[in-house]
Amino acid sequence: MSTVLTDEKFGFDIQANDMLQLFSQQSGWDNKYRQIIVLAKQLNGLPDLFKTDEHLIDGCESATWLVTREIQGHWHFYADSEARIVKGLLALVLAAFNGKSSQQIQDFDIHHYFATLGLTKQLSPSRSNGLVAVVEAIKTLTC
Amino acid sequence: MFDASQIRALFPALQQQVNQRKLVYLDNAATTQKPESVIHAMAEYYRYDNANVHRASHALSARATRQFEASREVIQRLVNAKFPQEIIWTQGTTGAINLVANSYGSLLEAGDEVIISAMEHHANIVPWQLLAERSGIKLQIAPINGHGQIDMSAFSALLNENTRLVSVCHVSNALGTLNPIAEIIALSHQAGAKVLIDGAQGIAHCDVDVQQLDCDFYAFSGHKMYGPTGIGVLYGKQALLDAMPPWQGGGEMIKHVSFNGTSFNRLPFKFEAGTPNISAVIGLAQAAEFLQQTRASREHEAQLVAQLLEGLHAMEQVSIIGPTKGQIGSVSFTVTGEHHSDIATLLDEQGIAVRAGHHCAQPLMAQLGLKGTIRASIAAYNNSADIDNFLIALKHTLALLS
Repeated sequence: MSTVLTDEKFGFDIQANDMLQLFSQQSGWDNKYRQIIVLAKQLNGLPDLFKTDEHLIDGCESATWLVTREIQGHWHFYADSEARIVKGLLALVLAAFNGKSSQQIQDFDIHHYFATLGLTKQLSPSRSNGLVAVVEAIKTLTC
Repeated sequence: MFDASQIRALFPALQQQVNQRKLVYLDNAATTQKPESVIHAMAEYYRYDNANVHRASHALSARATRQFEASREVIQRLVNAKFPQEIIWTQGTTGAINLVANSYGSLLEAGDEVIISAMEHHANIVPWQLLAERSGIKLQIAPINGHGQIDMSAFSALLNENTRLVSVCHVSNALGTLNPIAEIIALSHQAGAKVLIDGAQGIAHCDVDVQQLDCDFYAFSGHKMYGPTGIGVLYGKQALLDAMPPWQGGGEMIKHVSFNGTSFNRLPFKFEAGTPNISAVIGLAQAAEFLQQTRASREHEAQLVAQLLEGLHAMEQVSIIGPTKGQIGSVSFTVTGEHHSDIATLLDEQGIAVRAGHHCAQPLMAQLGLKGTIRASIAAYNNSADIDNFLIALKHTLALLS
């Protein structure tokens, strides 16, 4: 069993702009979700060791965990979820925030990003998928 | 002759599209939609009759009071209670159970026992846990079998001379199990215990005759029987309610207040402190009238459940959780290898409203070894096309996830 955190490619090799381009090619709700499921497969996720209450994000219908590290002024995020759609959405969030400075994270308009992706309602406070809580946790951490 | 399309036309909320698809509403166990008659009656009350009840000596108050008390008689007839004052207005089923746990519960002592079942909604667990903490009563849990049914021999074995109350659901909100409440009531009475039936999921789908059942309490919510939110009913036998102390204090529930002491109003007002939810009470009477008219829908609902089960059984990845047949209102299932929230998200994209999660029955889920299920729940206004559309959308969802 792996006990080390490995950096995700999302936010390092793959940026928000890459995601925007990828999703602009997906027409229809089902193609967008197919893409989200592909992203879920590409996200390493967390070793079980880190799936603890300490890292659990409240307000999710599916258990979702977030681990954060600040390394030389840049944030490294590691996240996972029981649910594949949430895991895919986490990859989208990490593409925007991972490897960035606090200032870059604060300056990034995540709602505009999700709206452009065509996934506005996935980042709505009335949804129980917990994505809002993940974004809030990251924004609070870096403010 | 029951006509589901005629019934459906009475519900404005069902005539809409969601995500560019025709809405298929299968979350009725959470809350049902409301017919125009309920919405209209509530709006009319606010437009023309709005006044506080039982108090002022003016025309509006008299009209409001008349409607308010007429509603009580409508509900009395719905459940066939002996007297209108046996119908206590509460906030909902949760409020009704909390009333019993606090009022009847205050008469219990350390060493007394209350039995609930392993399939209860949190609303029929937590009030008893709080009571146990306050007064040292012992909370006993009647176990369930692998099909989500109460193990009746284990239940019988729990009954003893210390059992004061048995509180179980009529129908499981998470699994759709119909409990043998007549048998539970008879056995409990033999042991000298009172019985509270949580009828939240029973009232919209089953004929309830509290005199025939001989239950001591029956609790239900307005919003799960085509009525408004924020109103519920506690039925209690008059002699028992008379013997119980008030729970909440305030206006309406008193006869005389002085700083030397207070005497309390008669039933049902003793248990109705504060200005009640008048518009909801008036709306609830309309919902009850609607419910009486749809008694012929029982067979229609059973057919929808059978259609749902047949379609789900045909899908290899799907496991039905709970009874294999005869569910009332709700059918619960899981999909091998898939998280329930992913299924619900993708169904929503196709205009299908279902519930995914633990259904406020975490101890039940723990016992079944599940984190949650997907629950499709029907009402009288659903039709065969709704079930077909749901099954097609579910197949599409599974294909998309694979």
